[in-house]
Parts: sequence; C-alpha cells; structure tokens
Amino acid sequence: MRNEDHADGPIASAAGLNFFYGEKQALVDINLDIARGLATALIGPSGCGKSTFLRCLNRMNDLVDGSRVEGTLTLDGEDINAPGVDVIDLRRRVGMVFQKPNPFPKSIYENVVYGLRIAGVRGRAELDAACEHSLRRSALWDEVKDRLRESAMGLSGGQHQRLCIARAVAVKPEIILMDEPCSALDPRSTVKIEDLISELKGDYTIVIVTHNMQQAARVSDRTAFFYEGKLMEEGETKKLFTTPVRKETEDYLTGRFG
Amino acid sequence: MARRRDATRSDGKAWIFLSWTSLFLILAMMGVLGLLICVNSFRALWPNRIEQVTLADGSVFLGFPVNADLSPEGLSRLQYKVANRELNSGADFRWVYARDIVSAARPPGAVLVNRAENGDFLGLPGPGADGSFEKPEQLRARLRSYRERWNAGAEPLRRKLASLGEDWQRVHLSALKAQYAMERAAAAPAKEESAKRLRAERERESAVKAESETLMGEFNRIKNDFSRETAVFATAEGETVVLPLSSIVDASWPNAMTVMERAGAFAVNVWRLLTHYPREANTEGGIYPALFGTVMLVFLMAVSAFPLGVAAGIYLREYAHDGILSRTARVAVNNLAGVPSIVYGIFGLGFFIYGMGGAIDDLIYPERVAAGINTYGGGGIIWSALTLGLLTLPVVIVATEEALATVPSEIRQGSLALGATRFQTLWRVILPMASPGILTGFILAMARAAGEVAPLMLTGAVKSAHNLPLDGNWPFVHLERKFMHLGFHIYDMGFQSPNVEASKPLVYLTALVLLILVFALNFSAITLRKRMRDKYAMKGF
Amino acid sequence: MHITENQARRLKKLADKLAEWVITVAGVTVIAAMFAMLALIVREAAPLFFPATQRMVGAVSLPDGVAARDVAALGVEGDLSEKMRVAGVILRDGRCGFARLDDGEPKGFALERLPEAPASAAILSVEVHDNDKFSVLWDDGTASLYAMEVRFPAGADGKPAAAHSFYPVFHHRPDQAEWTNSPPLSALLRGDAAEHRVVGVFADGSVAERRLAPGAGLLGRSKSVASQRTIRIGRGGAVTAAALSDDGMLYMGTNEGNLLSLDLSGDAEGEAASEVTPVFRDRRAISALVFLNGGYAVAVGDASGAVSVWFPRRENGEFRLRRSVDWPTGGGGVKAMAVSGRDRGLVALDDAGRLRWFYSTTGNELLEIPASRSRPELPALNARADNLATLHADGAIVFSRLDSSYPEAGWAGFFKRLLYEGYETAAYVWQSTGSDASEPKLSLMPLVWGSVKAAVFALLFATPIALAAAMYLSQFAAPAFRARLKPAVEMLAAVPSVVIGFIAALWLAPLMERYLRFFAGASQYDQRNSLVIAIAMGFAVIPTVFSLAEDAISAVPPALSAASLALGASKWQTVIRVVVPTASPGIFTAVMLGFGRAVGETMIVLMAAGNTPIISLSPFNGMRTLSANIAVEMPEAPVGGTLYRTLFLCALILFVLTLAINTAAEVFRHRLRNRYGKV
Repeated sequence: MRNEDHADGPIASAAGLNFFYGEKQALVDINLDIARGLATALIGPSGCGKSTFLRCLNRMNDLVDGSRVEGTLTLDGEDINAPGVDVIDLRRRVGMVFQKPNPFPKSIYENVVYGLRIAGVRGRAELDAACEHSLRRSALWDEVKDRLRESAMGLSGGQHQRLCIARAVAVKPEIILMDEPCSALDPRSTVKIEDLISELKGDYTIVIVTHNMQQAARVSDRTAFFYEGKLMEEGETKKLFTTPVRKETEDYLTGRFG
Repeated sequence: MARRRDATRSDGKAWIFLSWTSLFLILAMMGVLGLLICVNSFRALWPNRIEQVTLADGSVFLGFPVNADLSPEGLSRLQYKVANRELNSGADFRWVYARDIVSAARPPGAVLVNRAENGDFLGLPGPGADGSFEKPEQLRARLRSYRERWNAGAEPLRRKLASLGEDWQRVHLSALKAQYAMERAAAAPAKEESAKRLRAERERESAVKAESETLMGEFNRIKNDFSRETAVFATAEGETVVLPLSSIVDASWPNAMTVMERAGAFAVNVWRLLTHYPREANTEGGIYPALFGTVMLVFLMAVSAFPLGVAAGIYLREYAHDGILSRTARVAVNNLAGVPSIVYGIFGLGFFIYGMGGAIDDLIYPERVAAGINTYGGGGIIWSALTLGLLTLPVVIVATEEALATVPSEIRQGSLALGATRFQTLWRVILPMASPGILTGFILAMARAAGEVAPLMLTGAVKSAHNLPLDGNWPFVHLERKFMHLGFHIYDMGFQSPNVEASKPLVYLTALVLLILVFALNFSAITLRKRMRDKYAMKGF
Repeated sequence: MHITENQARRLKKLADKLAEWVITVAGVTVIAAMFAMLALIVREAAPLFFPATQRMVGAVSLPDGVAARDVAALGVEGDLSEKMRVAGVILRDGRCGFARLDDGEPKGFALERLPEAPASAAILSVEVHDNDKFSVLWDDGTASLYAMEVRFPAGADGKPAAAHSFYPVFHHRPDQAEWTNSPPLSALLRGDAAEHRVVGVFADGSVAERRLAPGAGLLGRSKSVASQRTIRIGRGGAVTAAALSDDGMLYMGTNEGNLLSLDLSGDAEGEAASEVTPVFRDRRAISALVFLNGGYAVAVGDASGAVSVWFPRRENGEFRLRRSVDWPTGGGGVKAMAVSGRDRGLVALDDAGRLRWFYSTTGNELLEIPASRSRPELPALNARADNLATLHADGAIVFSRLDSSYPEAGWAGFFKRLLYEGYETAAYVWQSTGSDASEPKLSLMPLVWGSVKAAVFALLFATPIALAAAMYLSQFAAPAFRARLKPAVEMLAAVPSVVIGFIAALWLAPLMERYLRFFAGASQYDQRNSLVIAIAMGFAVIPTVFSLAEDAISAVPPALSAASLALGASKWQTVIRVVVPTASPGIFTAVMLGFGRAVGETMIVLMAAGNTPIISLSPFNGMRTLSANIAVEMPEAPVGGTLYRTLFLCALILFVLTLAINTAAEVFRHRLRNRYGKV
C-alpha cells in the first residue's frame, strides 16, 4: 500500500481526542492531523503526553488496565477506536519502534520476517525477498547479509535498533511510530538512525517522539509541541522552531523548562 | 594495650572456624551417606571370596565375612553369611567370636551357587558322574548345555502356558460380564442373548482350561525329565548335597577368579540387577520391575502434570485478570507447594481411587464389582501418577509463572506492535524464552517426585507385582495395574521383610539405583537449562 | 493450497480464541482442583464431629387386653432391611409375640406361649443380655434361656419371608427346695456349645451356681448337672440388681450403695474371689446394673438417676473397682438400661421418663431421646445400636432409628485425657485396633506430640549447622568457593527421604544404640528414637534452612558491612553484630519453613522413629507422627469407618499446620522485603 494512492488528505487525524489512565487524564482535547509521507516530530517536556498520543495511534495503550479513549482518531478516514475494528490488523498497518531496542532472541532472519509469518505468509521466496528488502531499507543489509541465520543477540546496540526498524518495515506499514528511538544509543548510531529516518520518510509516514529538539529540527518536516496533555502548537518544523507562536513553545525551545 | 587485646579476642577466629566446621560437617555427612551406599552396593555386586572357617570346637563352615563389631560384652566378633538356608534351619547368617576362630582358608574349589529357591548355596566340589571330582569347566559346560536344551524344549511351553493363563483370565472376565448382563436383563430376548454369550464364553473357558491342562501335563513331564539332571556338591561339614540343574541359576568359583574375571562377573551382576525379577521374597534377584515401574510412573506423572501446570501458570500470568480470584489462586498454589506428600496420598486414595475409580468400576465393570474384584477402584499406576502429578503441580505452576516473568515486557510489546495476537506472541516469542525456566522447574519437580514414596503406599505401589503395567498383552498399557517402585521397594525390603539381614544388600543397591535416577534427572535439568539459556536468553545487555 | 489474506486472518483469530479458551479451562480446572483437595479432606473428616441423631420410625400398639405393665421383657431385632423393624415382647403370663413395623405400617401382633414353657407357670423376672438373649425365671422354679432369632422359610409365594421366634436354648429346674420356696431375685443363664450355666442371685446376697454338661439328645439340650455351688457374701446390703459377664464375672448392686463382685470363672468346686466395694459415699441404692460390650466395665444406675461406669484396675497389686465416668441427673432412679453390642454405648431410662444415650469411653452424653408420648417404661437396643425400641405406658412400642456413627470420635475422643478400661490413670492413648475386648482409643494427642517433637528435635540439630554453614559461605568464603559449594549443599535436597530413612534405621540407629545406651541409664532405650530422628530428619531439612538463610544473609546490602568495617570492626564482629541481625527475618523464615517441612515428613519417621505413639520427653524414646500414622493405618482402615475418617482428620491437621507455618513465613518474607525497601 503506497501512499501515492491517496495523495490527498492527512493519513491520520485526531479530533477532540481525550485519553484517560483510570482517573487521570493524560490527553486533553487533541486536534492534530498527521501529514502523509512526511516525518512529524512530537516534542515536549516529560509527562506531557506525547508518548501517550503516539501509543494511541496503534492502540498499544489498550494493554494498560483502565485506559479509556474519548473522541475520534482516524486512519485513512476510518475511526480506529470504533467497535469491531481489528486491532491486530491496525497494528500491522501502524508499525512501532521502541525506545529500548527489543529484538527477539531469534536469528536476524527470523526477526525480520516475524511480522510476515504471523500474518500467514509462508513462501520462502516471498520471505527471503522481504527480508533483503527491509534490511536494505534499514541500511543493515551489508553488515549482516552473511550471517542472517545467526542470533540477533550478537549485534551491537545501534544494529539492534536498525534491526527493529527493518522488522517494522517488513510488514509494509502505512505509518511508522518511533518512541525516542535514539535515546538508548551512542552518538554514532544515532546519526545512522537519523539518516535512516530521512530516507524512509518518502515511502512511509513517520511519527517520532523525541526529547532532543535538535534531532526534531534535523529530521522532521512538521513538529507538534505537547504540554501538560494539551497540543500547544503544530506546524512546519522550520517555522515552529524559528518563530513559535505560543509562549510555552518558545520557553521550551529556549530551554527554560524541559 | 587494652585495645590490642580486644582485637584478638573479637576477631572471632575460633567462631569462624566453627562455622567452617559446620559446612564441612554437612559435606561430610553427605559423603558418609554416599560412601555407605556405594561401598555396600559394590560389595554386594563384586564377587567376594569364600572363606572356610575352622572353629576351636572343630566345626567347619563356608561363608562370606559381612560384618565385624563388638559384642555387648566387648568381645570382637564377626558375622558370616553362610547361606545354605534349608540346611541351617532357615538362618543364613551367623556370628562367631574372633577368639574362637582357629583358621580361615580360601579353598580355590569353593563354589557359590545362586539358586532359584532357598537362596544361595556354598559348597565344595563334589564327585561328578564318573566318580572323580567335577571340575568347574565341566559343570559350566553342563549348565550351558542344560540351558540351551531347556530353552529349546521347555521354555516355549512355559511361555505358552503363561499366555494361556492370561487368555483364561480374559475369558473369565468376559464370562463374568455375560453372566451379570444375563441376570439383570429385563426383557426375554436380551436375556436369551446374554445366556447365549455366557455359554460361548464358558465353552471358551473350558477349552482354554483343557488346552492348558494338556500342556501342563506335557510341561510337567519335560520338567521331570530335566530335573533328573543334577550336580553333586559337598558342604564344609562334609554333607553331600544334590542340586537339580533346574534350580541352579548360576555357579561361580570366586576364589579362583582373576581380577579380570571378577570384573566380568561384576558387570554380569549389574546387568542382572537391572534386568531380572526379584526372587525369594525380594531378597535375591534383580529389581527390574521396580525400575520399570518407577520410570513409567515418572513418565505418566510428567504427562499429566506438565501440560496442566504450564497451562495454569500461563493462565495466571497472562490471561487472568488481576483480581481477588487470581490473587487467592496464587496464594493457594504457593501454599500447596508446602503441603506434606502424605496428604496428597490420602486425597488420592479418597478421590481418585474410591471416588473416580469406584465410579468407573460401577459404570464400566459392574459385573466385577458384584464379584468383589476391583479394577480401577483399587490402587493402580494411573492413580499414583495422578496423585504425584497433583503434588508437582504447584511447583510447575510457580516455575512457569516465574519463568514468564523473566521475559521483558518490551519483547511482548514488540510482538504485539507487529500485529501478532496474544496467542501468537505467547507461542512464538514468550514461551520459547521462558522455556528454560519452565523445563528446569518441571524436571526438578519430577526429580523430587521420583523420590516420593509416602503417597504411593496408599495409591498402588506393592511389594511384588509380576505383571508390568506395560507388556505385550492387549491392550498393552494397563493403567489399572499395581506396580513396583524403587523407593517403595527400599521401604518394603528394609522394614516389612521377614529376613531383613538377607535383604540388606539389595536395599543398598536399590537405593543406589534410585539415587542415580534422581541425580540423572537433576543433572539433565541443569544442563538443559544451560543449553536453552544459551539459545534463547538475552545476551549482551 | 493458497489461502486468502482474509481467511488467514480469520484462522489467526480463531487460533487465538481457541488457545485462550483451552488455557483458561486448564488454568481454572487446576486451581479448582487444589481447592477441591481441601474440600474433600474436610468432607471426609467432618462427620466425625456431627452430633448423634435419632428419628422416630413408627409405633405398634400392644394387642387389646395387654397393658404395658404386663410386659416382662423387650428385645429389638437388628435391621433386616431398611424397611422392617421387629421387636420381641415377653409377657409376664408367659406369652410372647413380635411387634412388626413394615415400611412404617404396623402389622399384626400374635401372641402365643413361649415355646417349651412350663405349663401354667408365670414369669417372675427376665434378664436380657447380648441384646437378644433372655434368661427367664418361672414361678415354678424353672429357669429358661431363650434367644430371639429369625429364620427365612419360603412363604406362600415361594419367596423367603422372615419368621421370628424365641428359640429355647435350654431349661433347668433346680431340684432344691430353697430355690422353689423362696425364688432368687434373678436368674442369669448363659449357654454356648461348651457349657450351660445357671446363676441364681438371691436378695440376701447368696448366689447359687449350676454348671450343666451339654447333654446327648437330638438338640443337645438336656440338662444334667455337672457341678453346683452356693456362695454367700452376706454383707453389703440387699441385692437389687445383678449382671454376669461372659467370662464369669458376677456383679451385684445393693440397696446400700455397694457393688458386690464374685469371680465365678474358676474351678467350679473351688473358692470364688469376692469383693465388696462401696461405690456411693451417700450410700444411695443401686437400681440397675449391666455389663458394657466387652464384658469388662459395668454400668451402674442408681436411685438418684445417675449412671456411672466402673471397671477393675490394678492398684497396689490388687484389682479395685474404679469409676471412670459419671453422668448425674436430677430425675428419679434409673429404671432400666440397654447396651450396644458393638461399642461402649448404652441407653438409660429413669423413673422420670428420661431416656438418655451415653458413650462410656469418651464420657459423652450423646443424646437425650425426646419423649414422644406417654412415659417410656422399657428400652431395648439391637446389637449395632442403631435400632431402639421403647415400650410406653400407653401400651405402644415405639421404634426409633439412632445414628451416632462415630461415637469414639469427637472432641473428647480425640483431645481429652480419658480413663480407658483397665488403665491406672487417665491418659492420651492411640490404639486404633480396638476389638470387643479392648476399646478403640483414638486420642490424637500422642500423634500431634510426635509430629512436634520430631520437628523440634530435627530443627535443634539442623538449625545451628545450617545457619553456621550459611553464614560462613555467605560472608567468609571466597566467591569462587561459594559458587561451587552452595549448589553442592543444595544437591542434598535432591536425596529422597526414603534413602535417608533407611540408612538412619539400618545403620545409624544400631550404631547409636551401641554407644548411647549407657547414657539412658535405667530408663527405657528404644533403638529407633528421637536422637536418630534428630540427625536423620535434621539432615534432610538442612538444605531448606541453609538455602533460604544463605539467600537472606547474602541479600544484606554490602554497604552495611562496609560501614561497619570502616568503623574499625573485625569481619566477625560485623557479621555477628550487623549482617546477621539485619538478615534475621529471612533467617527466621528459613527456620520456620524448615519446621514446616519437618512436620510433614513421612518416610524418615516411618522407618527410623519406632512408630510407637507415646508422649514422652526423653530423647531415647521413639514416637509416631501424624504423617506416619496415616501411612501405617490407612491400608487397613475400612472405607468410611471411624478410623478412615480419623486419618483424614490427621491429614487435615497436617494441612492446616503446614499452611499456617508457610503463611506466617510468607508474611515475614514480605516484611523483610519492605524493610529492605526502606534501606
């Protein structure tokens, strides 16, 4: 499913989205469109709700007892919280890369094709092709092509994260969510991942949560600033960083609080 | 000055030494235990030399020295195994005071005969058929030829008779069933049919009986012929003893053996221990049925406990809502791990045997119940296995839960984020990662249960069972049969046997075999855990 | 075969749902099974404590013209079927009949003269013994023994029907003037294949005994006198009641509150030992006397309405009568008593019409049978003591069903110190193999004592060794050494207890006996005793205590030790003063769990403790624990009987005990965690 097919309109859209963990309200009245084919960064101080919003997009918050969603959150125009929606399928269409790289203790090959196997794909040729394609897209192919059958545990931290990205890419999602993907990595690996994001964003929509403003500035096309569960400001990255509209945004960007 | 003195007083070297001694004491006790068992087992299997002892009063006897201690009055005395039970009015051991011993020789011709009845025989070579003393090679050759001829001529008959016996049993039970049905049939046609069946079964019964009687006659004739072949020996006291070759299991001349030959005999003894049936009320022979029973029991127990325990552990950890029910369940499981095994035994008796077994019997074998025969309503290997399975369940559940807890939640989330269902995540990612812990916990629980005896005493272990729960007769697996068990065998031989002294060697041997089995299970658990940890665990973090 | 994406998706969902269902069912079943275990054990043990019950089944009236006071004796038949009840009635005029209750319906009551009754004689007195034997004394001096019995001749329809009768065992007419002129108070007849015996008890305390040889004749019922004697005690008062046991012990109660005993068991011509025992200090009269099942203890009913039980005990080398139980009451004097033929139960009726059911061993009053109508005059029990028939003043014979399935059980039976027949003092005794001769004694105290004693001795041996070793390994040993040794000690946990037990019993116990017998001195030395258990079971428990203690000690943050050492303390001082106290909750937990393990251990005690259920502090004596008791007694216990259920009670006690210990240990462990959370 390529994004050129629906060239117009945002790929995902939140309207009046409120989110609760039990009694506590984590997101207040969020209205945000995620542009198709671009990289959108979600920034803000700790606990502002950016990760929560991210996890709403693939309904990973469902795993937390007592979580509750109000409002609308659509993917390709369909409300993903409507009753009868296949969450399993949603999660295939919306991929996720976690803060702490979490490859499975299997071989590199098996890690990459995992998503395809669980979707029922069995043909060797198909799996091999997908594996090579994903690893190439994640800039990992050359490093591991000779040891696909070895355990993924033998790779370095940065390679782990790229493997996770390859794994996510293999199921051909529409959106890739990234929750602070570089915060557990060293600077060299971080650079590699950032380059990767820039490369991927044409074919995939990327939503990245980061607490590193410079990273957001480098990597994203659009930025959304969250503060205390509310969406303060959203817009083209260059414009938001140089001429923020809200005072809170400016204070955050200049480091008055973080 | 005072400070110096304090320091030396309070650095507690003596106390540290004492606590080191405690550790050493534990190891020493373990060592003593192991040594006792190994040494006594070795002595039981290694061919010992026969001594010919002459006493001060002129009497002579042949025997193996087995023990030495001080009598209550402080005199040194020795215990000999003199065997020849029927010649010594039932006593095959005797004590003599060291001071009464004039001489002890080791005549090379002294022979040890293992017999099918009455235990061992110790003697000196007697005259052969031609009057001269029969040489060991001659006797060995004769025994060999006897065995061959017996196996060709009589053994097939014996086996046929045994299988006819089994047939008769089966037909008899069918007849019982037909008779029962006939008595209870309400309508005439049903009654008629049952009566017909009963007649047919009775005919078969008599046919089998007739056949077995003819065969028995033939077999007895052959046996008689064979029993004419004898070997003559002399006892140390000078009596002549004639032993039919049919009663001789084996004859050996330990005093004339070289070390190699003795090692060979040792190996043969080990083989016999593990593959032969016991004889003479569990004082002779091997422990094969007990070994078989133990292994089969552990297997059945594993099959019943493993799936259920793992499923329950997965349920508690992954599927149950964290409410009061799952918390109570966890508390219950933890506590049940500490309940004494005999309590499980009595539950097994009341619920499995009298409850379920009784119900099964009433439902499927009412004719046997009416005749007073218990099939499932009495002890059996299946009930013992289920009882022990229940015993290991809490341990398996806790091990499963703890193993599942070691899987980091990121892994679980990662799988779900890729669009896997809960079951797929469990099956493909979580269980493989948790499997070292689960399997280890499981095997350790099995090893512990393999050594439990108390519940078995109430649910189906018996001192002697000729038929194994797995054999060549339909339906091949007989779960309702009682069985022998290594641990129970130890208890029975050591404490319920009429001749504890004679059983002692076998008790030590059985204990050794049981220990080897238990430690093999433990060892395999640990290696498995290591191997699987290397394969599945997280490295480099 | 290529399945579409949709189909694959649906299969995936289906598999997920199926797996969830299977796992949930398995999980719930397993957990339910654990609770079911407790439930079953409770269910099997609970009936032991249920109270006795009674239920009226029906009533039959005496035939017209016959009043209650015309009845001389009553006997009730055992259960032939659930539906039928039969009571035999002997009237004073010599007639007899059977009151039948069939499925609740009274059937006709025909009266006829007792078989072989002397012509036109009336009955003076009847003595009932063994529930269905009647010694009849006729006014012409004849004494007859009748047995109530039932035969099953084929009836009119070809089916066997029950026919009851009083079967005459034998008759005797003593040709002695004194017998006919002033007849005895009561005649007590006993007859078996070997001998027939007639004992006449006179009010002045003299006793005439006749032994008859079983004669020739078709039924062996002729009565030639083999020997005879008359014995006079001559003091103690006028005899009011008498009872004779099967082995020839005769007791007589007097109106002055004395119990006269006469030993008629010996040689017929010789001396009979006699004894006069005052049983009531206030010298109130004895009104009824009957032997309890077993023929050893005798129940005495007196004029104040109280019932007491007496049996001879050895005191200072002589046998003296001692009272074991006493049931006072405020009503009128005891009128009549009936005894159970199967246990030490009895039913007593007093003048006030109160009918009470007692059990002698435990001293319990099981039940007061409520008065349903007019006053009861005469009780009768069957041998199994589950059928009661009572004759009432209005001429009705009322049948009741009694149910006290486990009279030897209950709180008193299990936990009270009881005075058992033949014992010198009240004691806690476990002797389950009771028979008629020796009453079953089911005190659980010796077993509980045994379990506790064994566990305490084991821990006394194990704790210091395990703790010291744990402390050494954790704090003083090099890490490489510790990594090797810790698993080595824990390997000990894998050794089956049956192996430890047999080594202890066959090797250690004889060895210890040789060297330690001297220390026991004069007191009794059992080869398999508490010291052997201390070492053997202690050895088995060491890994449990060691492992947990070592974990606890090692879990103490090294920062604490560092602080202590930095203050100049030695390593030893640090360990003893800082580390161990900090780890003490964990250490205590370890010891408690070790105790729990020891309490539940079965095989070692079974093999190495001697299995004698005694209460003793001496380390040279053996013991029997609750767990070993179950293993030993269960194979022989009849299903559903008292012993069977008592063993379930033993299991329940073990269950609760280990549960309590483990829960307490868990609570401690939690507290330990909280404590370290703060640190």
